[in-house]
Amino acid sequence: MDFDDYLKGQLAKTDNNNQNLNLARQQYAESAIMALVEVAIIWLEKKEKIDSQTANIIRNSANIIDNLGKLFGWF
Amino acid sequence: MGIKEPNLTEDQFKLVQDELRTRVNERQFRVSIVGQTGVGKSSLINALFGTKLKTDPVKPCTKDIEEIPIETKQKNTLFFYDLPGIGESDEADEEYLQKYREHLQSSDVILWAIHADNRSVVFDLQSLKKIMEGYTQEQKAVLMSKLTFILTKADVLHPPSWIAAKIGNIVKFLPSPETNSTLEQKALYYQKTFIEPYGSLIVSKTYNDCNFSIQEDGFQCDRDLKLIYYKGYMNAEKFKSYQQQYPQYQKIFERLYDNYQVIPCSAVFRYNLNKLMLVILNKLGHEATIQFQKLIASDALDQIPFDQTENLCNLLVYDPKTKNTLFEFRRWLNVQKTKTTWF
Repeated sequence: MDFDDYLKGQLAKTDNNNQNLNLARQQYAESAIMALVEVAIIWLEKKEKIDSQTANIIRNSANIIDNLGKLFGWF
Repeated sequence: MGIKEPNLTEDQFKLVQDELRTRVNERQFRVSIVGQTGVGKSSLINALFGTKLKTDPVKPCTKDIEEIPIETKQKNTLFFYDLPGIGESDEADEEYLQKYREHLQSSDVILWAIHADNRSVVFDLQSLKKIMEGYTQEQKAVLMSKLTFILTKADVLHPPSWIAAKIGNIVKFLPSPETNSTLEQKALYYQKTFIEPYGSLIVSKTYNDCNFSIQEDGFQCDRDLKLIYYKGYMNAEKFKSYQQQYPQYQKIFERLYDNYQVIPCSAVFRYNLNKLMLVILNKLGHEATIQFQKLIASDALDQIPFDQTENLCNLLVYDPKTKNTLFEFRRWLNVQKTKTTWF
């Protein structure tokens, strides 16, 4: 392989790794919040701080991931 | 998950938020790094997490397990465990080994550092075997799911020289084609030696960003959490075969394949650190992922500002007869800095 092509390929790889890392951070943060919100809801329900109806509202809330993500500075 | 409705009240949100904050803050984030003295464990942690662990090239480090709480750039605390190679400790008895095993089980990230220029695997292989011997099958699987093997100090592999690609005000260090090929061969060798024998214990994970859904042995999808799991070791043959069969999921197979690669890297040249970080991220559990998000910087890890590169190369050509310095890289670099274009 020609040296210029090799260099281009290597630089493309580094860009790709960087993009993949950023994408992965965002995707995993979302999955992690979803998993943790579920744990938090179960705990709050058990301690009778919320009822099952509220638990479902929280579960199905569209804004929770965005809001919590922003809160913790992930997005 | 059901249909999303934006109807969460402030009070409900606050309850969840407080509970989450408590859980996340209570949890310690633990990074263990295993490796013999001189493989560059502290330098690697510093490069990855922006910490300032002491790196002493002369004095040997402790031979015991060392817990070091460190504050990162983002003002979070990270617990770093320096675990010397098993054979290095004078007290490598069963009690010591047990302590070692417990530390590894409770870690969120385990890095196993091997010097890129190391010619013998015996020492590290024996250490891994000794650790594994004391574990149940389940514990072995936990270890393998968190463990990442790294070839450190890739920068020492020369000649031929490394390439400093200057892009605007930053520099990216890349191995020469020959060094790249050497690193690939070494990584493959270590993969076969350290990872393949434990292949059946491995469960690889990645995120599902493209409605991945195939009916093949080993694959499992968690639709709620948008995750894909693959049980077993995806070697090069399997990887190629899946890619040919399902070209639309190429990126997913790449990530699953990369998860159990041995990663050559250099803390000094910041080479391949993004890839290493991605592999670490793929292996974390959920709570640890959130802790981890707070720890890693969003800047690209594999680049160095141009004005900080002068200490990275130390070539000086000197003629003792005439007592003249014929060439000094640092001086040459300073001249280049005053010019507008370089390379």
